[in-house]
Amino acid sequence: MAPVDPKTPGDTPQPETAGEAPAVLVKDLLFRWPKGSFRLKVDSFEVKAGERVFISGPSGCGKSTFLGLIAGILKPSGGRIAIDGQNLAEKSGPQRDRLRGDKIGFIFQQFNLVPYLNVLDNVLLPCRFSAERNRRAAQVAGTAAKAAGELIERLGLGGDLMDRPVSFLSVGQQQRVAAARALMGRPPLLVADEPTSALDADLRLAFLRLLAQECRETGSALLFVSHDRSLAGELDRAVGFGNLNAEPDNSDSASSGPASSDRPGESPDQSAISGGLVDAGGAS
Amino acid sequence: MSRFATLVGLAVKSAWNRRLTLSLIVLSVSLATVLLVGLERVRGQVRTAFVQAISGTDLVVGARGSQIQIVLYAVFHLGGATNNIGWDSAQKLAARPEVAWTIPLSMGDSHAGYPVVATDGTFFERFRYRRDQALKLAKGRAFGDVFEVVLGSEVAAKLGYDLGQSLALRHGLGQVGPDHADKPFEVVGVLAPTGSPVDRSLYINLASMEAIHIDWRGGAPIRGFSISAERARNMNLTPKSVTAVLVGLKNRRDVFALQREIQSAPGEALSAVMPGVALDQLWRLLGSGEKVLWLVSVLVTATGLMGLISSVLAGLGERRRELAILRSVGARPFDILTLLALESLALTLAGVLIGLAVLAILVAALGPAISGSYGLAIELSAPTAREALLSLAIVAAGFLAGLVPAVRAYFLSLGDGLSVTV
Repeated sequence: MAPVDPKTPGDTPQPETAGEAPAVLVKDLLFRWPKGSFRLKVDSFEVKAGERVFISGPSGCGKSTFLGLIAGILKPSGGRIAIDGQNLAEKSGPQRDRLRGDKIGFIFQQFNLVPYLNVLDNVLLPCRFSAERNRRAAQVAGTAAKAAGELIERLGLGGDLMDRPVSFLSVGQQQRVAAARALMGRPPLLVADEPTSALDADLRLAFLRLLAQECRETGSALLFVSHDRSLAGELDRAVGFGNLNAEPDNSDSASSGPASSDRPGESPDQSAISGGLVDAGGAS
Repeated sequence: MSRFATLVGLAVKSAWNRRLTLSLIVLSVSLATVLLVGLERVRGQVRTAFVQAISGTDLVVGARGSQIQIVLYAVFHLGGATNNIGWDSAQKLAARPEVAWTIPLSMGDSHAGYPVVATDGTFFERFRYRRDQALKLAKGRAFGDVFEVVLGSEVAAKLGYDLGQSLALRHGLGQVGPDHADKPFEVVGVLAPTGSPVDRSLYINLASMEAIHIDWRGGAPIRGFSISAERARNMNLTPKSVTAVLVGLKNRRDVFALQREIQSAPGEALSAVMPGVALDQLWRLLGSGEKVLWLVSVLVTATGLMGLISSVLAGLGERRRELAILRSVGARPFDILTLLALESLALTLAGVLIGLAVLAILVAALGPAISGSYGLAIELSAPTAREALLSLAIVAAGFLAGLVPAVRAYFLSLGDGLSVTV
């Protein structure tokens, strides 16, 4: 099934320059915790520039570890993991921190916001730590603060909410602020880690759609992690993380490995792409 | 905005957000500051008052003895001299070409436990204390006639004496003993507070001292013989001896030469003491009490800073989420360390500034009262170099204390990454 995706990583030489480089490119990635037996092994995984990918998987299957590697918090034991063409495996800790600030917007499950900053300051936070994102935000609107204001407006949080402490916001509003922050300065990649699990069922789909639409606007790739596979059909493709992790000694993930093919009918792309990943895993 | 400015902004906002919890920390730091800097100011003033109990006097001359003993009786009027100086020696000293002025002092009597000092009019003109301060009369005038007395401020205040009050002197320095009730004195003046031993003394002229002892021999009244005050007044009241002489020079450079000369001169055995040097020595001897106070204040400061460490550490658990968010937007673990260290720094800085402000208010409110009753110049002024240094030391200690939670946060955020499992 691999040929379905003609741009299987490894087939093509990877450009190191930003622009059309894949948002995420993983090749023969290996990670071992210094203590303990947990190992993560991903032979091949790619999120193309602007592509929106849904990843599902049960807890304990290594998702968090994988996201930690993408974020550059963890350093791979082997292989290659490139964000926007820059290989994290070759970079030092501070370089990885900088790359994360420049290239990735994050949305977490909940408590996404810095409690002592108001809405605007929370949204502006990435621009404070990343000159690159500050510059890109300013390119569009003139100043980063203006860009933040527009973004907040578009996400339906405008008006008097802007200067409010974030503790005044509902969970749904907080997640939208988090989304605005992640989108600030149009990072090449957005990582949303279970961003909807604290939301009511009727809000989840609306949030995902909003996020997907904004990513299309900004051109950011989206890596949307959730165990709620009813949302999978909204994005370009879906991947089962159990299949992604090729390390056999993680019994948890092995048992739930076929999870992604539970409802193959939901998205026409879904089975095919996750199948490709299964193939990649099987090759090890 | 630079990254450091970002971190400063975050630290301040974060601290402000938890101001209720942190205000206690700030309070304890400011209390420590009030104690440490306040103590330093009072200590400085007390030391100044002590070491400059006498100023402008180049030499204190007494009968041969230790310099501490001479300073004790000539400056503080404590204890007695083993020997007196003959009046002719005192006169010879005054006549030396390098000497500008002399103040003869004769001691040995007391009133209600306060020493009585016999001197002459030069005392009011020439005596200086604390950086060249001259004596001022709060009321009345200097003594002129015999049997007139001028009171130090504390004597007048404690005993409730006013002008016109009649009092009797007691022979010797004890509370009991024969007195000179037959020759009462009249209060003609009260001196303004000086914060020096002058406040605790009574001043009469040398002739009065001679007059009250005119019918005495060997420290006791001559039995069956007395001369009335009126008769004494008209007798020859030139003193035969004095206890000490304060000497002011025309040129300070002569002080060592004159000191050597006085001590080695043939005739009466005299000692000449440079009061500043002797007072410094004496302060070092007596100053150990301040070290205890100092230790207590340092401990209070340490307690305050430990409170800072423990409360910032305790708050860290709740803030791991927040630190993970900062990491997610590109903060390095070192940024987290900086953030926490800055926060502790901000807290300590706030505490010290508040402490200094409180101290200023206290000084402004209580200073005049202290000045009035103790003669200490506790007044509103810019911090001295030592006080500024002390304040900086507290801030530095606070910063160092803040490194404990900061380093902890560094390792927490290194381990937590973006996902906190608490």
